[in-house]
Amino acid sequence: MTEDELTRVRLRVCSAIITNNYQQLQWAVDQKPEVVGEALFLEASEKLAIAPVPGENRLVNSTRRLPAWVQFVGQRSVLLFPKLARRILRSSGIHHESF
Amino acid sequence: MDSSIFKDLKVLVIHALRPTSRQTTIDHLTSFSKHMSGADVQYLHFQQPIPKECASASPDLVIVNYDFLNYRFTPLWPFIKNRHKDIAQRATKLVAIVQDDFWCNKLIDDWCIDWDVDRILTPIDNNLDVLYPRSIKRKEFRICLTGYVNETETNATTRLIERPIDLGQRVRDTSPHLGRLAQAKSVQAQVMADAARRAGFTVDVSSRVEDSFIGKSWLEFLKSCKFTVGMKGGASLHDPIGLLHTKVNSYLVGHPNAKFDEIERKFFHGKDMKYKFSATSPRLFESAAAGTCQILQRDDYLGVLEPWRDYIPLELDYSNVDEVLLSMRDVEKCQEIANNATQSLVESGLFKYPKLVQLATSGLVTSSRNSHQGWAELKSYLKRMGAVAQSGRTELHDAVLEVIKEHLTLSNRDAATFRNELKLGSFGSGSKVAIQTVLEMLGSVSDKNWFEEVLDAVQSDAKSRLFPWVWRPLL
Repeated sequence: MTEDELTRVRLRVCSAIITNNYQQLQWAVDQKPEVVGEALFLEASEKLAIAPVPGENRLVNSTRRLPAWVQFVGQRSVLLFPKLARRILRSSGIHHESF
Repeated sequence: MDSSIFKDLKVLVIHALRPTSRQTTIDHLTSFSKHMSGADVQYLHFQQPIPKECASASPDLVIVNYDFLNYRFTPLWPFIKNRHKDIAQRATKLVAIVQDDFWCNKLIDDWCIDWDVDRILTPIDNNLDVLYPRSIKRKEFRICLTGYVNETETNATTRLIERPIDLGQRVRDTSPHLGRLAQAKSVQAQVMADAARRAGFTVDVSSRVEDSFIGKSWLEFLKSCKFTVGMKGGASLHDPIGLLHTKVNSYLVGHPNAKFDEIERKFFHGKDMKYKFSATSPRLFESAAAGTCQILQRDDYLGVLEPWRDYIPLELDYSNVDEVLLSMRDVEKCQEIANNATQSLVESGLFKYPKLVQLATSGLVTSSRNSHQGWAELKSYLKRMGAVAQSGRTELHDAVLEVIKEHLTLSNRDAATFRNELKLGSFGSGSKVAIQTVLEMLGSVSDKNWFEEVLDAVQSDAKSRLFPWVWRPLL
């Protein structure tokens, strides 16, 4: 692996950790620890254990059973409160499956 | 194209490029800087912050690309639909390039009126009065393709016989709310894949998101396939504000195994297939450029492709699957068909990107009339903002933006506190090593200056911090 490729792999692992992205974290822990770096690899493994699994968030899934118009209005209304919206997105992992 | 017609024209392209954007979107966007020689073409990501000193720039032409307009499918639309509207309103002319017009068509129709768009480019060539009841009488419509031939991608293909995969394709499972026609592409790929597998062919067809290819790897995949399967894209239903999509998806949560017929009966009985909003897929060109033999539903493809000469025709009811499979065994004949398609679509030069540029710009603005005030500042600012990504270090660019977004905007720190925490290393619970690694990668002074400027820009533009996406610049 060239120095450039190594840098790219490490940065991708960093992005996975910072964004709490479950699928990317799965990819990260599939890399060799000596390539990624021991400390970074450990951090990725720890993050993976607690990262939200897309599609498995109880709160989000329960809202999906609400009547369509409630969901429709609710999705738009929650964005009036950006901090709350970001918290829901981050803790549910749905921002990684969004458009 | 005659470069004198664009001389000194100030053109701003508003886009929404993401790290996972398809190569077609990138080619589409870059075609304006490549083929508008003489013009000064600048790219602005919708989420990119603009400092006040650049906000007075007045372009001659603003082109809003479909990747930004496609955010109308999401709940974000009411909050971002007017992003950078002020700069667009100062332009002499405004062009919107739309795709998937049938999805949230009322939202795009209203947006075109609100932004006072001059010209709308769409791949849909029929029933536009249904999709754009307000704009149809007031705006100029031009029909374009969803993708064109990229001249740089037509080289180095291997012969079919040397390729390891017999049948390859990637399709997205479309939500049933766009009707039977939107489902057809994925059904067709599945039917052909199953039949080819049974006949002993090596098949790599998938509709799973995680199997999709990003950027140039898609073309590399196509180049490793002897055959690919496809048809025109489109929909047979329109969903004016996206409510039908929410209704259908909501039902699917409670009834995950619901079949299309059941959903049709419940939500759009008697409405499907009333209209056919169809458009030619860019895959037609990508496959031809890759030299892959195409199995296509028998149809009219731009008036240039002939069945059995340029493609292997598959009947709508799949009644000739056996005939198609038999013809796939005659690789020499299929090589000839693939070569013919390459000739008709790629080498003929009829469908290259200058055509898109011509459709978008011809007759709109002939000379620069607007003041240059603010334009030079905007140009220089965009160049500085895009420097790291444009030097090929896209992963570094994205990772730095993630650091800023997640640890400045999520916690609502101000820039000074954030800088202080960076120095002390007391930030990012659970991500300390990752953040430190990213910041260590900013080796040079210019990289560090770039980081500081991005930080300031994001801090000064509240809208750029609203949503958790990373903007990817183009120069």
